Amino acid sequence: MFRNITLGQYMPGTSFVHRLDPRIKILVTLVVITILFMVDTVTGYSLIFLFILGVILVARLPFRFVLYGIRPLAFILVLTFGLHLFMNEGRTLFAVGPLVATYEGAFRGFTMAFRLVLLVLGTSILTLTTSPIELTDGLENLMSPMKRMGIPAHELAMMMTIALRFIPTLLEETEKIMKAQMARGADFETGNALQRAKSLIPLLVPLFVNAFRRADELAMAMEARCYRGGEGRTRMKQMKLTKGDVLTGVVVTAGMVAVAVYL
Amino acid sequence: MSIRVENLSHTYNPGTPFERCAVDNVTLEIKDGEFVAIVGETGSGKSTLIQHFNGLLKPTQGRVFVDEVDIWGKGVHLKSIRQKVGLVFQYPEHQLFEETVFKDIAFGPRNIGIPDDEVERRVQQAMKMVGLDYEALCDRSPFELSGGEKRRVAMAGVIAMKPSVIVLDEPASGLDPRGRDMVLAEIQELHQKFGFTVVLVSHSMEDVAKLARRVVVLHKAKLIADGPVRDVFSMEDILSMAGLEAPQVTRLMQELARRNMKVRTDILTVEEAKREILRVLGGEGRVP
Repeated sequence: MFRNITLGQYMPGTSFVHRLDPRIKILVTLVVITILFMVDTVTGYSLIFLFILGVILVARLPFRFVLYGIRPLAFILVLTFGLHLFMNEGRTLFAVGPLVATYEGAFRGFTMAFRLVLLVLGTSILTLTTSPIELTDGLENLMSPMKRMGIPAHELAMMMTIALRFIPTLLEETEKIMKAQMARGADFETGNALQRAKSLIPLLVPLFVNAFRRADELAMAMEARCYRGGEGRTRMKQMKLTKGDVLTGVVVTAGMVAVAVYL
Repeated sequence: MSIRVENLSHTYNPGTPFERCAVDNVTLEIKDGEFVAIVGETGSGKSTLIQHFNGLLKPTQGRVFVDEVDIWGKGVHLKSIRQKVGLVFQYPEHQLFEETVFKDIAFGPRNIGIPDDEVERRVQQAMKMVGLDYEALCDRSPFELSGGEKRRVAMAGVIAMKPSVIVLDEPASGLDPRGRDMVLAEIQELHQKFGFTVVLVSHSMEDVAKLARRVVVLHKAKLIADGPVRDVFSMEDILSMAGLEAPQVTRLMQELARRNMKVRTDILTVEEAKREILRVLGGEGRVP
Protein backbone atom coordinates (compact mmCIF):
# COMPACT_ATOMS: atom_id res chain seq x y z
CA MET A 1 0.00 0.00 0.00
CA PHE A 2 2.94 2.34 0.58
CA ARG A 3 4.93 1.00 -2.30
CA ASN A 4 3.51 3.45 -4.79
CA ILE A 5 4.84 6.66 -3.27
CA THR A 6 7.11 8.20 -5.87
CA LEU A 7 7.67 11.59 -4.27
CA GLY A 8 11.27 11.69 -3.11
CA GLN A 9 12.20 8.40 -4.69
CA TYR A 10 15.44 7.98 -6.65
CA MET A 11 15.59 6.23 -9.99
CA PRO A 12 19.13 5.26 -10.91
CA GLY A 13 20.29 6.12 -14.41
CA THR A 14 23.20 7.36 -16.49
CA SER A 15 21.58 10.16 -18.46
CA PHE A 16 22.97 13.68 -18.76
CA VAL A 17 20.56 14.85 -16.07
CA HIS A 18 21.66 12.07 -13.72
CA ARG A 19 25.32 12.93 -14.18
CA LEU A 20 24.91 16.67 -13.70
CA ASP A 21 26.56 18.07 -10.57
CA PRO A 22 24.03 17.92 -7.72
CA ARG A 23 24.77 21.52 -6.71
CA ILE A 24 23.87 22.75 -10.18
CA LYS A 25 20.73 20.63 -10.14
CA ILE A 26 19.63 22.04 -6.78
CA LEU A 27 20.32 25.63 -7.87
CA VAL A 28 18.58 25.18 -11.21
CA THR A 29 15.56 23.65 -9.46
CA LEU A 30 15.46 26.68 -7.13
CA VAL A 31 15.62 29.00 -10.13
CA VAL A 32 12.80 27.17 -11.91
CA ILE A 33 10.63 27.27 -8.77
CA THR A 34 11.26 31.00 -8.29
CA ILE A 35 10.49 31.78 -11.91
CA LEU A 36 7.34 29.67 -11.69
CA PHE A 37 6.04 32.09 -9.09
CA MET A 38 6.91 35.13 -11.19
CA VAL A 39 5.48 34.00 -14.50
CA ASP A 40 1.87 34.91 -15.10
CA THR A 41 1.17 34.29 -18.76
CA VAL A 42 0.07 31.25 -20.71
CA THR A 43 3.17 31.42 -22.91
CA GLY A 44 5.40 31.55 -19.82
CA TYR A 45 3.77 28.51 -18.29
CA SER A 46 3.90 26.63 -21.56
CA LEU A 47 7.60 27.33 -21.99
CA ILE A 48 8.40 26.08 -18.47
CA PHE A 49 6.17 23.08 -19.09
CA LEU A 50 8.04 22.31 -22.30
CA PHE A 51 11.34 22.72 -20.49
CA ILE A 52 10.30 20.25 -17.76
CA LEU A 53 8.99 17.86 -20.39
CA GLY A 54 12.33 18.09 -22.18
CA VAL A 55 14.26 17.34 -19.00
CA ILE A 56 12.09 14.28 -18.34
CA LEU A 57 12.84 13.09 -21.88
CA VAL A 58 16.58 13.70 -21.58
CA ALA A 59 16.66 11.96 -18.18
CA ARG A 60 14.80 9.02 -19.77
CA LEU A 61 12.29 8.89 -16.91
CA PRO A 62 9.10 6.97 -17.71
CA PHE A 63 6.27 9.53 -17.97
CA ARG A 64 3.74 7.39 -16.18
CA PHE A 65 6.05 7.05 -13.24
CA VAL A 66 6.67 10.79 -12.98
CA LEU A 67 2.94 11.42 -13.19
CA TYR A 68 2.30 9.06 -10.27
CA GLY A 69 3.98 11.70 -8.13
CA ILE A 70 1.07 14.07 -8.74
CA ARG A 71 -1.62 11.68 -7.56
CA PRO A 72 -1.34 12.53 -3.85
CA LEU A 73 -1.84 16.14 -4.92
CA ALA A 74 -5.21 15.52 -6.56
CA PHE A 75 -7.25 16.83 -3.64
CA ILE A 76 -5.24 20.04 -3.34
CA LEU A 77 -5.50 20.59 -7.10
CA VAL A 78 -9.27 20.23 -7.07
CA LEU A 79 -9.53 22.50 -4.02
CA THR A 80 -7.31 25.15 -5.61
CA PHE A 81 -9.28 25.10 -8.82
CA GLY A 82 -12.61 25.14 -6.98
CA LEU A 83 -11.72 28.06 -4.73
CA HIS A 84 -10.41 30.17 -7.59
CA LEU A 85 -13.39 29.28 -9.75
CA PHE A 86 -15.89 30.68 -7.28
CA MET A 87 -13.91 33.38 -5.48
CA ASN A 88 -12.99 35.56 -8.47
CA GLU A 89 -15.07 38.39 -9.84
CA GLY A 90 -15.82 38.65 -13.54
CA ARG A 91 -18.08 37.33 -16.25
CA THR A 92 -20.46 34.65 -14.99
CA LEU A 93 -19.86 31.12 -16.22
CA PHE A 94 -22.60 29.44 -14.17
CA ALA A 95 -24.07 29.79 -10.69
CA VAL A 96 -24.84 27.30 -7.95
CA GLY A 97 -27.04 29.05 -5.42
CA PRO A 98 -25.07 31.99 -4.01
CA LEU A 99 -21.84 30.71 -5.58
CA VAL A 100 -20.94 32.24 -8.89
CA ALA A 101 -18.35 30.66 -11.12
CA THR A 102 -16.58 33.08 -13.44
CA TYR A 103 -14.50 32.83 -16.61
CA GLU A 104 -11.69 34.69 -14.88
CA GLY A 105 -11.92 32.30 -11.93
CA ALA A 106 -11.71 29.28 -14.19
CA PHE A 107 -8.64 30.72 -15.86
CA ARG A 108 -6.94 31.64 -12.58
CA GLY A 109 -7.84 28.30 -11.01
CA PHE A 110 -6.43 26.44 -13.97
CA THR A 111 -3.15 28.36 -13.99
CA MET A 112 -2.76 27.98 -10.22
CA ALA A 113 -3.35 24.23 -10.36
CA PHE A 114 -0.99 24.00 -13.33
CA ARG A 115 1.62 25.92 -11.37
CA LEU A 116 1.35 23.39 -8.51
CA VAL A 117 1.71 20.50 -10.93
CA LEU A 118 4.81 22.07 -12.45
CA LEU A 119 6.24 22.68 -8.97
CA VAL A 120 5.87 19.03 -8.04
CA LEU A 121 7.14 17.83 -11.41
CA GLY A 122 10.18 20.08 -11.22
CA THR A 123 11.15 19.00 -7.73
CA SER A 124 10.46 15.32 -8.35
CA ILE A 125 12.83 15.42 -11.32
CA LEU A 126 15.51 16.55 -8.88
CA THR A 127 14.91 13.70 -6.45
CA LEU A 128 14.27 11.12 -9.17
CA THR A 129 17.61 11.77 -10.84
CA THR A 130 19.79 12.51 -7.80
CA SER A 131 20.67 9.87 -5.24
CA PRO A 132 19.93 10.94 -1.65
CA ILE A 133 23.65 10.93 -0.86
CA GLU A 134 24.45 13.26 -3.77
CA LEU A 135 21.52 15.44 -2.83
CA THR A 136 22.59 15.93 0.77
CA ASP A 137 26.26 16.27 -0.18
CA GLY A 138 25.23 18.98 -2.60
CA LEU A 139 23.12 20.73 0.03
CA GLU A 140 25.90 20.52 2.58
CA ASN A 141 28.31 22.03 0.11
CA LEU A 142 25.90 24.82 -0.78
CA MET A 143 25.21 25.55 2.89
CA SER A 144 28.84 25.43 3.99
CA PRO A 145 29.38 29.21 3.69
CA MET A 146 26.69 29.55 6.36
CA LYS A 147 28.85 27.66 8.85
CA ARG A 148 30.41 30.97 9.74
CA MET A 149 27.01 32.16 10.91
CA GLY A 150 26.82 29.17 13.22
CA ILE A 151 24.58 27.01 11.08
CA PRO A 152 25.71 23.37 11.43
CA ALA A 153 25.63 22.52 7.75
CA HIS A 154 27.24 19.11 8.07
CA GLU A 155 25.01 17.96 10.90
CA LEU A 156 21.89 19.13 9.09
CA ALA A 157 22.95 17.29 5.95
CA MET A 158 23.78 14.15 7.92
CA MET A 159 20.38 14.22 9.63
CA MET A 160 18.72 14.58 6.26
CA THR A 161 20.72 11.71 4.79
CA ILE A 162 19.72 9.46 7.67
CA ALA A 163 16.07 10.54 7.51
CA LEU A 164 15.92 9.90 3.77
CA ARG A 165 17.71 6.61 4.15
CA PHE A 166 15.16 5.39 6.68
CA ILE A 167 11.94 6.41 4.95
CA PRO A 168 11.73 3.22 2.85
CA THR A 169 12.87 1.10 5.79
CA LEU A 170 10.17 2.51 8.04
CA LEU A 171 7.50 2.18 5.36
CA GLU A 172 8.46 -1.43 4.83
CA GLU A 173 8.35 -2.03 8.54
CA THR A 174 4.96 -0.36 8.88
CA GLU A 175 3.61 -2.66 6.22
CA LYS A 176 5.09 -5.70 7.90
CA ILE A 177 3.73 -4.87 11.35
CA MET A 178 0.34 -4.07 9.85
CA LYS A 179 0.22 -7.46 8.18
CA ALA A 180 1.38 -9.20 11.33
CA GLN A 181 -1.43 -7.57 13.33
CA MET A 182 -3.93 -8.28 10.56
CA ALA A 183 -2.91 -11.93 10.82
CA ARG A 184 -4.09 -11.63 14.41
CA GLY A 185 -7.43 -10.29 13.31
CA ALA A 186 -6.66 -6.57 13.61
CA ASP A 187 -8.81 -4.31 11.47
CA PHE A 188 -7.39 -1.00 10.26
CA GLU A 189 -10.08 -0.09 7.80
CA THR A 190 -13.52 -0.10 9.36
CA GLY A 191 -15.07 1.65 12.34
CA ASN A 192 -15.52 5.31 13.28
CA ALA A 193 -12.70 7.81 13.74
CA LEU A 194 -12.11 6.90 17.39
CA GLN A 195 -12.06 3.17 16.75
CA ARG A 196 -9.70 3.66 13.86
CA ALA A 197 -7.36 5.81 15.92
CA LYS A 198 -7.38 3.14 18.62
CA SER A 199 -6.68 0.44 16.08
CA LEU A 200 -3.42 2.23 15.25
CA ILE A 201 -1.92 1.55 18.69
CA PRO A 202 -0.84 -2.02 17.80
CA LEU A 203 0.87 -0.51 14.77
CA LEU A 204 2.48 2.59 16.28
CA VAL A 205 3.89 1.08 19.48
CA PRO A 206 6.02 -1.55 17.74
CA LEU A 207 6.96 0.94 15.04
CA PHE A 208 8.34 3.42 17.59
CA VAL A 209 10.04 0.74 19.64
CA ASN A 210 11.76 -0.53 16.51
CA ALA A 211 12.68 2.97 15.33
CA PHE A 212 14.39 3.73 18.64
CA ARG A 213 16.18 0.40 18.53
CA ARG A 214 17.36 1.15 15.00
CA ALA A 215 18.50 4.65 15.96
CA ASP A 216 20.48 3.19 18.84
CA GLU A 217 22.15 0.62 16.64
CA LEU A 218 22.92 3.20 13.98
CA ALA A 219 24.52 5.57 16.50
CA MET A 220 26.60 2.70 17.82
CA ALA A 221 27.69 1.66 14.32
CA MET A 222 28.66 5.24 13.47
CA GLU A 223 30.67 5.67 16.66
CA ALA A 224 32.35 2.32 16.08
CA ARG A 225 33.64 3.86 12.88
CA CYS A 226 34.88 6.94 14.74
CA TYR A 227 32.25 9.36 13.50
CA ARG A 228 32.62 12.63 15.40
CA GLY A 229 30.78 15.12 13.23
CA GLY A 230 31.93 16.97 10.17
CA GLU A 231 35.11 18.57 11.53
CA GLY A 232 38.08 17.57 9.36
CA ARG A 233 36.11 14.91 7.53
CA THR A 234 37.13 14.16 3.96
CA ARG A 235 34.97 12.40 1.41
CA MET A 236 35.45 9.54 -0.96
CA LYS A 237 33.63 11.22 -3.83
CA GLN A 238 34.77 14.79 -4.30
CA MET A 239 32.30 16.91 -6.19
CA LYS A 240 33.87 18.59 -9.20
CA LEU A 241 32.19 21.17 -11.35
CA THR A 242 32.89 20.58 -15.03
CA LYS A 243 32.56 23.17 -17.75
CA GLY A 244 29.45 21.37 -18.94
CA ASP A 245 27.87 21.63 -15.48
CA VAL A 246 28.51 25.38 -15.27
CA LEU A 247 27.38 25.96 -18.84
CA THR A 248 24.14 24.07 -18.25
CA GLY A 249 23.49 26.05 -15.10
CA VAL A 250 24.13 29.37 -16.81
CA VAL A 251 22.08 28.57 -19.91
CA VAL A 252 19.06 27.32 -17.97
CA THR A 253 19.17 30.24 -15.53
CA ALA A 254 19.48 32.74 -18.37
CA GLY A 255 16.64 31.09 -20.22
CA MET A 256 14.40 31.12 -17.15
CA VAL A 257 15.16 34.75 -16.34
CA ALA A 258 14.41 35.65 -19.96
CA VAL A 259 11.06 33.89 -19.68
CA ALA A 260 10.28 35.81 -16.49
CA VAL A 261 11.35 39.19 -17.85
CA TYR A 262 9.87 39.06 -21.34
CA LEU A 263 6.68 37.14 -20.77
CA MET B 1 -7.97 -28.14 7.15
CA SER B 2 -6.25 -28.02 3.80
CA ILE B 3 -4.73 -25.14 1.88
CA ARG B 4 -4.57 -25.29 -1.86
CA VAL B 5 -3.08 -22.70 -4.20
CA GLU B 6 -3.66 -23.01 -7.91
CA ASN B 7 -1.45 -21.35 -10.53
CA LEU B 8 -0.66 -18.60 -8.07
CA SER B 9 1.38 -15.63 -9.27
CA HIS B 10 2.14 -12.45 -7.44
CA THR B 11 3.71 -9.34 -8.92
CA TYR B 12 4.81 -6.41 -6.78
CA ASN B 13 4.44 -2.86 -8.16
CA PRO B 14 2.87 -3.89 -11.44
CA GLY B 15 3.27 -1.28 -14.18
CA THR B 16 6.18 0.58 -12.57
CA PRO B 17 9.92 0.26 -13.16
CA PHE B 18 10.06 -1.57 -9.81
CA GLU B 19 7.81 -4.36 -11.08
CA ARG B 20 8.91 -7.70 -9.69
CA CYS B 21 7.34 -11.12 -9.96
CA ALA B 22 7.82 -12.76 -6.55
CA VAL B 23 5.73 -15.89 -7.05
CA ASP B 24 5.34 -17.40 -10.49
CA ASN B 25 2.64 -19.93 -11.28
CA VAL B 26 2.85 -22.04 -8.14
CA THR B 27 0.42 -24.90 -7.55
CA LEU B 28 0.56 -26.56 -4.18
CA GLU B 29 -1.65 -28.37 -1.72
CA ILE B 30 -1.08 -28.68 2.00
CA LYS B 31 -3.24 -31.40 3.48
CA ASP B 32 -4.69 -31.68 6.94
CA GLY B 33 -2.16 -32.87 9.51
CA GLU B 34 0.93 -32.42 7.34
CA PHE B 35 4.24 -30.87 8.39
CA VAL B 36 5.55 -29.11 5.30
CA ALA B 37 8.76 -27.11 5.03
CA ILE B 38 9.24 -24.39 2.44
CA VAL B 39 12.86 -23.71 1.56
CA GLY B 40 14.68 -21.46 -0.88
CA GLU B 41 17.21 -18.66 -1.02
CA THR B 42 16.48 -15.16 0.25
CA GLY B 43 14.21 -13.55 -2.33
CA SER B 44 12.95 -16.83 -3.76
CA GLY B 45 9.37 -15.92 -2.88
CA LYS B 46 8.78 -17.94 0.29
CA SER B 47 7.45 -15.08 2.37
CA THR B 48 5.26 -13.79 -0.46
CA LEU B 49 3.83 -17.27 -0.98
CA ILE B 50 2.88 -17.85 2.66
CA GLN B 51 1.19 -14.45 2.89
CA HIS B 52 -1.34 -15.79 0.41
CA PHE B 53 -2.29 -18.66 2.69
CA ASN B 54 -4.31 -16.39 4.98
CA GLY B 55 -5.28 -13.69 2.52
CA LEU B 56 -2.80 -11.00 3.53
CA LEU B 57 -1.80 -10.71 -0.09
CA LYS B 58 -4.16 -10.99 -3.00
CA PRO B 59 -2.87 -13.10 -5.87
CA THR B 60 -2.18 -11.25 -9.10
CA GLN B 61 -3.23 -14.46 -10.80
CA GLY B 62 -4.48 -17.82 -9.61
CA ARG B 63 -6.63 -18.86 -6.69
CA VAL B 64 -6.26 -19.81 -3.04
CA PHE B 65 -8.55 -22.33 -1.34
CA VAL B 66 -8.77 -22.89 2.39
CA ASP B 67 -10.90 -25.92 3.15
CA GLU B 68 -12.05 -25.92 -0.48
CA VAL B 69 -13.38 -22.36 -0.14
CA ASP B 70 -11.98 -19.77 -2.55
CA ILE B 71 -10.85 -17.15 -0.04
CA TRP B 72 -11.22 -14.30 -2.53
CA GLY B 73 -14.69 -15.44 -3.53
CA LYS B 74 -17.82 -13.47 -2.68
CA GLY B 75 -19.02 -13.41 0.91
CA VAL B 76 -15.83 -14.86 2.43
CA HIS B 77 -14.69 -13.08 5.59
CA LEU B 78 -10.92 -12.82 5.56
CA LYS B 79 -10.96 -12.55 9.34
CA SER B 80 -12.32 -16.06 9.61
CA ILE B 81 -9.64 -17.29 7.20
CA ARG B 82 -6.99 -15.59 9.32
CA GLN B 83 -8.37 -17.32 12.38
CA LYS B 84 -8.11 -20.71 10.67
CA VAL B 85 -4.65 -20.14 9.21
CA GLY B 86 -2.35 -18.61 11.82
CA LEU B 87 0.70 -16.83 10.44
CA VAL B 88 3.76 -16.13 12.57
CA PHE B 89 6.01 -13.64 10.80
CA GLN B 90 9.77 -13.55 10.92
CA TYR B 91 11.01 -11.83 14.10
CA PRO B 92 7.46 -11.84 15.49
CA GLU B 93 8.70 -10.26 18.73
CA HIS B 94 8.95 -6.98 16.81
CA GLN B 95 5.19 -6.74 16.75
CA LEU B 96 4.60 -6.99 20.51
CA PHE B 97 2.90 -3.85 21.76
CA GLU B 98 0.81 -4.40 24.88
CA GLU B 99 1.68 -3.56 28.48
CA THR B 100 1.50 -7.14 29.63
CA VAL B 101 2.16 -10.54 28.14
CA PHE B 102 -1.44 -11.52 28.86
CA LYS B 103 -2.92 -8.58 26.95
CA ASP B 104 -0.63 -9.13 23.99
CA ILE B 105 -1.56 -12.78 23.61
CA ALA B 106 -5.23 -11.89 24.13
CA PHE B 107 -5.15 -9.38 21.23
CA GLY B 108 -5.88 -11.98 18.56
CA PRO B 109 -8.70 -13.84 20.35
CA ARG B 110 -10.35 -10.53 21.32
CA ASN B 111 -10.24 -9.33 17.71
CA ILE B 112 -12.22 -12.32 16.58
CA GLY B 113 -14.82 -11.72 19.28
CA ILE B 114 -14.03 -14.38 21.87
CA PRO B 115 -15.69 -13.70 25.29
CA ASP B 116 -13.41 -12.71 28.18
CA ASP B 117 -13.45 -15.91 30.26
CA GLU B 118 -12.72 -17.97 27.16
CA VAL B 119 -9.90 -15.54 26.24
CA GLU B 120 -8.25 -16.18 29.59
CA ARG B 121 -8.47 -19.93 29.10
CA ARG B 122 -6.99 -19.64 25.64
CA VAL B 123 -4.10 -17.47 26.80
CA GLN B 124 -3.27 -20.00 29.52
CA GLN B 125 -3.47 -22.82 27.03
CA ALA B 126 -1.39 -21.08 24.39
CA MET B 127 1.33 -20.14 26.88
CA LYS B 128 1.47 -23.73 28.09
CA MET B 129 1.79 -24.99 24.53
CA VAL B 130 4.87 -22.84 23.88
CA GLY B 131 6.38 -23.65 27.26
CA LEU B 132 5.84 -20.33 29.06
CA ASP B 133 4.90 -20.15 32.73
CA TYR B 134 1.51 -18.38 32.87
CA GLU B 135 1.60 -17.36 36.55
CA ALA B 136 5.12 -15.96 36.37
CA LEU B 137 4.85 -14.08 33.10
CA CYS B 138 1.26 -13.00 32.43
CA ASP B 139 1.58 -9.62 34.18
CA ARG B 140 5.11 -8.83 33.03
CA SER B 141 5.81 -6.42 30.19
CA PRO B 142 6.67 -8.34 27.02
CA PHE B 143 9.50 -5.87 26.42
CA GLU B 144 11.51 -7.03 29.43
CA LEU B 145 11.63 -10.70 28.46
CA SER B 146 14.55 -12.51 26.82
CA GLY B 147 14.65 -12.89 23.04
CA GLY B 148 13.50 -16.49 23.10
CA GLU B 149 10.67 -15.72 25.53
CA LYS B 150 9.50 -12.77 23.44
CA ARG B 151 9.38 -14.96 20.39
CA ARG B 152 7.34 -17.57 22.20
CA VAL B 153 4.94 -14.90 23.48
CA ALA B 154 4.43 -13.78 19.88
CA MET B 155 3.84 -17.37 18.80
CA ALA B 156 1.35 -17.85 21.62
CA GLY B 157 -0.45 -14.74 20.33
CA VAL B 158 -1.21 -16.61 17.12
CA ILE B 159 -1.86 -19.99 18.73
CA ALA B 160 -4.43 -18.42 21.07
CA MET B 161 -6.64 -17.81 18.05
CA LYS B 162 -6.90 -21.60 17.74
CA PRO B 163 -5.97 -21.91 14.09
CA SER B 164 -5.83 -25.37 12.59
CA VAL B 165 -2.90 -24.51 10.35
CA ILE B 166 0.07 -22.63 11.71
CA VAL B 167 2.52 -21.06 9.28
CA LEU B 168 5.89 -19.98 10.67
CA ASP B 169 8.40 -17.82 8.81
CA GLU B 170 11.93 -18.56 10.05
CA PRO B 171 10.82 -19.11 13.64
CA ALA B 172 14.32 -19.87 14.91
CA SER B 173 16.35 -17.13 13.23
CA GLY B 174 18.36 -14.78 15.40
CA LEU B 175 17.97 -16.83 18.59
CA ASP B 176 20.78 -18.29 20.69
CA PRO B 177 21.28 -22.09 20.41
CA ARG B 178 19.16 -22.77 23.48
CA GLY B 179 16.32 -20.52 22.38
CA ARG B 180 16.48 -22.16 18.95
CA ASP B 181 16.24 -25.67 20.31
CA MET B 182 13.34 -24.75 22.55
CA VAL B 183 11.36 -22.99 19.82
CA LEU B 184 11.90 -25.87 17.41
CA ALA B 185 10.97 -28.44 20.05
CA GLU B 186 7.77 -26.52 20.72
CA ILE B 187 6.93 -26.49 17.02
CA GLN B 188 7.42 -30.24 16.84
CA GLU B 189 5.13 -30.61 19.82
CA LEU B 190 2.49 -28.40 18.25
CA HIS B 191 2.42 -30.83 15.36
CA GLN B 192 2.73 -34.15 17.13
CA LYS B 193 0.95 -33.54 20.41
CA PHE B 194 -1.62 -30.88 19.52
CA GLY B 195 -2.30 -31.90 15.95
CA PHE B 196 -1.64 -28.61 14.19
CA THR B 197 -0.94 -28.67 10.48
CA VAL B 198 2.43 -26.89 10.28
CA VAL B 199 4.06 -24.98 7.44
CA LEU B 200 7.63 -24.05 8.26
CA VAL B 201 9.75 -21.63 6.26
CA SER B 202 13.39 -22.20 7.07
CA HIS B 203 16.93 -21.66 5.92
CA SER B 204 18.29 -24.50 7.98
CA MET B 205 18.20 -27.79 6.13
CA GLU B 206 19.16 -29.55 9.37
CA ASP B 207 15.98 -28.24 11.02
CA VAL B 208 13.90 -29.20 8.01
CA ALA B 209 15.39 -32.71 7.98
CA LYS B 210 14.68 -33.09 11.66
CA LEU B 211 11.12 -31.75 11.69
CA ALA B 212 9.34 -31.90 8.37
CA ARG B 213 8.07 -34.83 6.33
CA ARG B 214 7.59 -32.96 3.10
CA VAL B 215 9.58 -30.14 1.59
CA VAL B 216 8.79 -27.59 -1.08
CA VAL B 217 11.71 -25.90 -2.84
CA LEU B 218 11.30 -22.45 -4.35
CA HIS B 219 13.82 -20.91 -6.69
CA LYS B 220 13.47 -17.52 -8.40
CA ALA B 221 9.72 -17.39 -7.69
CA LYS B 222 9.09 -20.85 -9.13
CA LEU B 223 8.37 -24.14 -7.41
CA ILE B 224 11.14 -26.52 -8.49
CA ALA B 225 10.64 -29.49 -6.17
CA ASP B 226 7.94 -30.83 -3.89
CA GLY B 227 8.10 -34.18 -2.16
CA PRO B 228 9.19 -36.19 0.85
CA VAL B 229 12.23 -34.62 2.57
CA ARG B 230 14.25 -37.77 2.01
CA ASP B 231 13.70 -37.75 -1.75
CA VAL B 232 14.21 -34.02 -2.27
CA PHE B 233 17.39 -33.84 -0.18
CA SER B 234 19.00 -36.60 -2.20
CA MET B 235 18.51 -34.63 -5.42
CA GLU B 236 21.81 -32.77 -5.33
CA ASP B 237 21.27 -30.94 -8.61
CA ILE B 238 17.93 -29.46 -7.49
CA LEU B 239 19.37 -28.29 -4.20
CA SER B 240 22.46 -26.71 -5.71
CA MET B 241 20.31 -24.99 -8.33
CA ALA B 242 18.21 -23.50 -5.53
CA GLY B 243 21.39 -22.38 -3.75
CA LEU B 244 20.80 -24.74 -0.84
CA GLU B 245 22.87 -27.41 0.81
CA ALA B 246 21.58 -30.70 2.11
CA PRO B 247 22.24 -31.37 5.82
CA GLN B 248 25.90 -32.05 6.60
CA VAL B 249 25.30 -35.70 7.34
CA THR B 250 23.48 -36.21 4.04
CA ARG B 251 26.40 -34.65 2.21
CA LEU B 252 28.79 -36.89 4.15
CA MET B 253 26.92 -39.95 2.94
CA GLN B 254 26.90 -38.65 -0.62
CA GLU B 255 30.67 -38.16 -0.41
CA LEU B 256 31.13 -41.68 0.98
CA ALA B 257 29.07 -43.04 -1.89
CA ARG B 258 31.24 -41.13 -4.35
CA ARG B 259 34.27 -42.83 -2.79
CA ASN B 260 32.81 -46.22 -3.58
CA MET B 261 31.34 -47.07 -0.23
CA LYS B 262 27.99 -48.65 -0.94
CA VAL B 263 25.86 -46.58 1.45
CA ARG B 264 22.40 -45.15 0.88
CA THR B 265 22.52 -41.41 0.27
CA ASP B 266 19.04 -40.44 1.46
CA ILE B 267 20.14 -40.18 5.08
CA LEU B 268 18.84 -37.29 7.17
CA THR B 269 20.11 -37.70 10.72
CA VAL B 270 23.35 -38.69 12.40
CA GLU B 271 21.64 -41.68 14.03
CA GLU B 272 20.52 -42.99 10.64
CA ALA B 273 23.98 -42.43 9.22
CA LYS B 274 25.55 -44.44 12.02
CA ARG B 275 23.26 -47.38 11.41
CA GLU B 276 23.80 -47.25 7.65
CA ILE B 277 27.60 -47.13 7.92
CA LEU B 278 27.61 -49.99 10.43
CA ARG B 279 25.34 -51.98 8.15
CA VAL B 280 27.64 -51.55 5.18
CA LEU B 281 30.81 -52.23 7.16
CA GLY B 282 29.19 -55.24 8.80
CA GLY B 283 28.05 -56.55 5.44
CA GLU B 284 31.66 -57.16 4.47
CA GLY B 285 32.21 -59.67 7.24
CA ARG B 286 30.37 -60.17 10.46
CA VAL B 287 27.13 -58.47 11.43
CA PRO B 288 27.58 -56.42 14.62
